[in-house]
Amino acid sequence: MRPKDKSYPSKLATRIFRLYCSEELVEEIEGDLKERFQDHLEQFSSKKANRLYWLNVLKFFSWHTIKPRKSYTSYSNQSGLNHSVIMFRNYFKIAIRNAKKHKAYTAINLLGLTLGLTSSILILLYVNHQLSYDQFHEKQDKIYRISLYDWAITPNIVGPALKRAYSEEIQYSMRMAFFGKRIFNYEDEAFTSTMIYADPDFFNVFSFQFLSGNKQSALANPNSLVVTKEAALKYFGTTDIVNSTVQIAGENYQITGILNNIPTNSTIQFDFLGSLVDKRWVKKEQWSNAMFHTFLLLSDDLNPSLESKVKTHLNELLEIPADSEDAAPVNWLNIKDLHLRSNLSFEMGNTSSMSGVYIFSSIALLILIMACINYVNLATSRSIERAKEVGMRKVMGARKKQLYYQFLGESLIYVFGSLIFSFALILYLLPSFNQLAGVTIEVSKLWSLSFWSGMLSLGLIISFLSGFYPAIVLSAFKPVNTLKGSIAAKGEKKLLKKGLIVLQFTISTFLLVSTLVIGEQLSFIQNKDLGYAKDQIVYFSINDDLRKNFESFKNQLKSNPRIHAISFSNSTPLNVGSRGGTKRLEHSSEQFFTTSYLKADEHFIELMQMKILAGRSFVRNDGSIDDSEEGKIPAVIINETMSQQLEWTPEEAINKTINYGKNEVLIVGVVADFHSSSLKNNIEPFMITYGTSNHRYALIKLGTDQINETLGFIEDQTLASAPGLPFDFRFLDDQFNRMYRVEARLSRIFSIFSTIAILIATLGILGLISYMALNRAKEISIRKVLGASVQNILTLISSDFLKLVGLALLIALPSSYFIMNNWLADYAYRITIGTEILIYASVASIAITLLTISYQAIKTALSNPANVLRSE
Amino acid sequence: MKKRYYLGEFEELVLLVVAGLQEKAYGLSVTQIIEKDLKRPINMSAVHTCLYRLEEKGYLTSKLDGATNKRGGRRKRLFLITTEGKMALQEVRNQRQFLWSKIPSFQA
Repeated sequence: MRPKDKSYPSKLATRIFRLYCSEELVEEIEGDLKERFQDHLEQFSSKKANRLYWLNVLKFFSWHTIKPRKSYTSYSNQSGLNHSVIMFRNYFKIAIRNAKKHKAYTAINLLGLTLGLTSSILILLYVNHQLSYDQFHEKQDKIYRISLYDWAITPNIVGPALKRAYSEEIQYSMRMAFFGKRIFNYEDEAFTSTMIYADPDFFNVFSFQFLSGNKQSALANPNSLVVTKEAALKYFGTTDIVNSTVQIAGENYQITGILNNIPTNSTIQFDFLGSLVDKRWVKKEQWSNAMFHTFLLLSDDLNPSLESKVKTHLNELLEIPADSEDAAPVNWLNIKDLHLRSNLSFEMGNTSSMSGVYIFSSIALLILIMACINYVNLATSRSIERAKEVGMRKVMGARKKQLYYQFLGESLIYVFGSLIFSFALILYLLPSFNQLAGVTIEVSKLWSLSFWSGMLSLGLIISFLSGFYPAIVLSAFKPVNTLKGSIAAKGEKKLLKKGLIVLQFTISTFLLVSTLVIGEQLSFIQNKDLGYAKDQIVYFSINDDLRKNFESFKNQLKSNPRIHAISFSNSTPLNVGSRGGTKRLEHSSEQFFTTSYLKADEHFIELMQMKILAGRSFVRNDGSIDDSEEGKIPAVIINETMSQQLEWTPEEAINKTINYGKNEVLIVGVVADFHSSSLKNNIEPFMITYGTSNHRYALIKLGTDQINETLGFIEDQTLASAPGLPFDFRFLDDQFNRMYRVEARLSRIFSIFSTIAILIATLGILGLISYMALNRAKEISIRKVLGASVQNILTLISSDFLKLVGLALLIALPSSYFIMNNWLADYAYRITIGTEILIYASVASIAITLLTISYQAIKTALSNPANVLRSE
Repeated sequence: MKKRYYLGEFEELVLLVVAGLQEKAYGLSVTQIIEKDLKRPINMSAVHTCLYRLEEKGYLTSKLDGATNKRGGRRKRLFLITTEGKMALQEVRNQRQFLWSKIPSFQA
């Protein structure tokens, strides 16, 4: 930068001058102006010189300086602006006339583009929504969820302990517990709704907006309750309910605040939010009470020193040396990653994955490519018709560039016409799409500026992608050839068109194969014999009261004939978190292998209907039960994989004593392998140990009828035996299906969008075949005259397309086989992609092609050659 | 038919100045001569436009040259009178002289 110097004229004035002056004149005039300024500087003060400089700059503003200099060649452009406006109107008129003249073509084109745009915009909305999760918290960069091992939830001691230890680094720590549905009583009415409990600092950490009430006091008192506006209107009919009293499971809660609705892109979702203050089941901080999502609001960004300090501290509390191998790993997760980048046990529900985002984006991209290809193919195949127009325009003086823009503009008209249809369709389809994709995208999003600017830029990009090639082809025609009527499509152009068709079919075949593979894998998962019966099993968390009253609770439940079995265990078969090392007694300590285990009572095997291969369950043959007292060797039942690991047959394993850590356990039975985690994982050595203490879940097997009544009965009994226990039940098969909800969604979305992709490809072929039939009418007529049969003609027409489809299959089948095999590689238990899937996909592709071209092909083949040739 | 020359009063003035400046004529120098020597207040932009018009008429040619520090490194457009221009001036002068000679009382 030059310092402000009095011997230089005002920069602003110079800038203004450059702004208006035509480029060719800037040099000389600016020179004159500056020289004049220097002259003035010698005579007058710099101020006056500058004023005169300004004056001169302004005086130079005239028609002479602003108008662009004419170059002698651009004679045709003489009338400038006016001229192009007239031409623009002409282009528009011609485009509309052409569209009206060829209604079928226009319809196919618009339909293809509309389908493509609608699908991809919906998918992009989904992707955008996924990426926007939890971004609305003001302090999002400093909000972390902390957890141990591979669990998302933590014991209730973790949050408060960390806050006490690092009160400087940690501004707030907050625990949150999810309780599914709860029963509410308000005045005389009862309803169930979702509820979570949280520490009072909830609102200091998260940015949820209050409609009434305030964030400092909302959760400060025991039994205070915050409700969302939506829930308030739904259940109370008004938002004027602050200070009202609501009963939840017999306890009185006071409503202290109304929240504006929770954004749909929040991972934390609830209708009611209760205070954790003084809750009996939280008050005592302990390691065994692990049902809390713990969030920390840090004073500063997360740094490694805090990470290591926290790890050391937590492991100290757990009495594990932090540098040892057994040290509990601590997971820090920024709230922005909660939705897409976290995959631990007991996530908040509702979580998704980045791979889903990638997969969906690619589908959107593929569909868009197909829609563009359609346009390109249709527009270029029509080039013969437009050729005369191009020739005429050129003769009249149109330049190549003008024609290029004309045809590019035409694609703009088509794309934006389709965009309008798409928008209407999206408005209409959004609710169904939300259901399909399992998200809540609000309709108001469609009226936002960001959505419209996105649509606009998408439209421009698609217009260009689909329009630029036809524009080049069409604008390149030589007037002499076109007007003489002899434009033969050149070889290379045909090659490109064929290449595009092959690409289209490759994409749709790939989507078809993927759909089939995903669908088959999903049904494989759902129908796989898990090694136990997952249906009709309800489970819920229990507390000390229920543990103490177990016998009476069990007997009461047993009195109901619809309850088939009941068992207590420390985890369900689907969320086993405990692992330990086991080995044969005579083996060395290196031969310890990791074994998952759960502790259960004697009813567990029977309730889960596991298959005993050898030995017995925890009930001895004489009806007595294995010992659980101190000092006795505990009985365990192992799975087949574990017996193999121990190098015993199931029969040999019975009554053997093995090492379990430092202790010894006695194998009393071997059960067939069962799946305790997602089918993505291999079955690991598994051990069910017998025990009567420290159980955390009650599992109840129900009959198939009157399930609601039975559940009500169980809740009553639970409440009677353990008054403070929330009856937060879940079905085991729900938990199972939740593991595969990504696959289920993927399967649904793939089937819908591959259908659309195929439809678009079909439309493209439909358009092409009709133009081909038209262009080759004479050739076919002559063939007929010379004796070709209808069959010959049909073969001739279809073989052209079938060759392309065949080539597409050659590309698509191996590549989709490879890609889907890759996808399946995630699953330890998976289908193999059999030839039947590939055959099915090929047959479907060929059949669809034949079906599409059949009408036109037959019509052409049957046409009377005389009609075509007569006019020559 | 004899070619006719059209020169406005101001154009004639500018053309004369350019002819007199001989290779040193550009927008500002012409302006300065008119201002200082003829004591006629004038716009730079008017001179500039006029120079271009004369060039269009073929009485002047121009080239870009002669950047100086004073001009912020910008070049000048130097104007030179063409034969056509000279003939136009001659023609105008002849006409004037012929008319002057018709005025007896003014004769020296």
